[in-house]
Amino acid sequence: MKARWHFIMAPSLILSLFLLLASQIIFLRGGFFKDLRLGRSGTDLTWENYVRFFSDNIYVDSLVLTIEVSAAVALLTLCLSYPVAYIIARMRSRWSLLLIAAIVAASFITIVIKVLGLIIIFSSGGALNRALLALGVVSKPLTIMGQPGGVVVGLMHFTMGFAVLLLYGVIRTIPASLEDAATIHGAPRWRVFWRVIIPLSLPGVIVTALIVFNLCMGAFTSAALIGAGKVYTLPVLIQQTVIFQTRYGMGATISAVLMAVTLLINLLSLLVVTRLAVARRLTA
Amino acid sequence: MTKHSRRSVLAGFASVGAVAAVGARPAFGQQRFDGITVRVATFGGGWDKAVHKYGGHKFEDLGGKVEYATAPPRENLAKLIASRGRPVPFDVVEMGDLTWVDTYEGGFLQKINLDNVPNKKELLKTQFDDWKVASWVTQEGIVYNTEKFKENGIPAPERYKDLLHPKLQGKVSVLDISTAGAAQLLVGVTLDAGGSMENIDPGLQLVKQINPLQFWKVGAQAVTLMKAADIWAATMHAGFAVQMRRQGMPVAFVHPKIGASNRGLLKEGWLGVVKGSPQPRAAEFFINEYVSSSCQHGLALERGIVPVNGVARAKLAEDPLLRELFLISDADVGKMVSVDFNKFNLDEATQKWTRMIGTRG
Repeated sequence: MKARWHFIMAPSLILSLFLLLASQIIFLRGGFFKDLRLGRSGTDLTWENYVRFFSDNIYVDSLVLTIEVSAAVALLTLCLSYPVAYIIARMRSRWSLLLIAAIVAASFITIVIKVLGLIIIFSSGGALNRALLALGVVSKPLTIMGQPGGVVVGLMHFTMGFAVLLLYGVIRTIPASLEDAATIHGAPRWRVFWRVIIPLSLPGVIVTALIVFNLCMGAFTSAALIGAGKVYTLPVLIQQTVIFQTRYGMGATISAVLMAVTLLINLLSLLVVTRLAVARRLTA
Repeated sequence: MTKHSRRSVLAGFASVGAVAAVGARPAFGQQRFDGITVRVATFGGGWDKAVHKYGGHKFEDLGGKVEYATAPPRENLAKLIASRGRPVPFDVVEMGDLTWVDTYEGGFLQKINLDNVPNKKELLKTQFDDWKVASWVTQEGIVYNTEKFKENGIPAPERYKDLLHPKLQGKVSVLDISTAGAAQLLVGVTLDAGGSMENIDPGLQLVKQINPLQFWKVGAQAVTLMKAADIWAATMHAGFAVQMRRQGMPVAFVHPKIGASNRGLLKEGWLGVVKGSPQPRAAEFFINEYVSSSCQHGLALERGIVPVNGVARAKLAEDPLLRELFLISDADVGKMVSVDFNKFNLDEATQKWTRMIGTRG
């Protein structure tokens, strides 16, 4: 009899769904009531907050910015993490374990400390800017404060460790003998990488990209600290709406939209990738 | 009751010394607070430690324990809102003048038994009522790095508009709309730009033109950037200049000219007892110690606030640094601007601010 291993997922799936719904249902519900200031809401159901969200530039711009920043981080993090993960996965010395341990240890460092470190590195008198100025690479110090690009750098710093660990696991599952076989048959190194390693690791790459993307969609600390009050991603706007303006209904609406858009992007990505895979199989 | 008593501050300065000679009697005699914890919501960034050092420790000397919850006033208000229907998260809450009205109107305060705050005798009558006791006054303006200004040939600023100097682009930190001094900043820049407390649009445009590197939410953020010389000027209160000077930083403070005859802005802080606090007497004891002359004088010297306690205020001019950085004379204080919260609309200002900063194009 064929083992139904997928049933093993059931308990964790149910638990995850319960935790997600239990925490989000309050927000989802709260978004349908009018704000009466100081955390008070009206009693009549209304679409007012949602209408306001989609008709007001500030919210739409913030949503677009959040998606752009998250997508940029996902893409850049993948580009930088993949080679690192590949090299570590293919290392035969004990250094590989040491490097993995270092990445794990680094991911334990709290995001606030990481971000503050970046701010120091990128300060006008910091080591990086001094070096770049001395080399004539830049004419004035680079700054990451108050720039969307700076927030991208901060989020990459936060997510890269996770990405390397995830990709390392994926690449380790690809037998090195496949690469050897392709090489023996005369494929140049880049072709082996492009035709063997990338396709085989693609599902893991996509999952990694989506995890990084999702982490960034909800990331507050980097956007708040590096954004310096000038970069309004949705999590920053949620914090300001709920904590500063005490408009819980609007805060709930923004949260609900953020969650819905994130889910939608995930589903669409998986759909596109599945279709591509099917098309590829058919052409092969 | 009136919403605010901005003018009380002006009157307070004018009356320095008049109340200085009035003594205070001990609040609770030999009462002890063994096993009692009083939870205080106040500012972070070392402010809580200073409050404890100069006032809060007296509660612990009598057997009690003080726990500080540090956050900006709006965050503390948010915690109170979130705790509706549940035990309150703290007993004493410190509020900026922007926050106190909401805290009161939200029903989060309970009446203070002023008999338990005998040090009120050293405060002006306008600085306490059944719901609140004044905790400090700050003077808002511009802190700037004198060395950087000199090196770069930038004249010392005299008003907010001077922050538009081309060499200051990206070298200024302006406080964020969510901080306690936001109303004072917005009113200051607005009046400087030709607007009024009812119409802050010109002020918002001026802030945008200044193009700050950062909008600071916690003063320490701006101080850190000032230390690293990433910023050369910041809009903040004179207390920060006091702290930076005591750390040896080359800074000066400007009370900006506003209009033809005004100079500088005033901001007030308030203390209240949280409705539903299980320890109101302990909270009142804490408040009494907070506004005592010794605590207020210590806070003035270390943190750069202007004391609400008349005895402590009378000593201000004895300190050369405070004399340099503060406006102390009646004539100068009389020309300072106070925000009229019947005209200034925080909700509207926040919406406009967010739209200006957060909207592209």
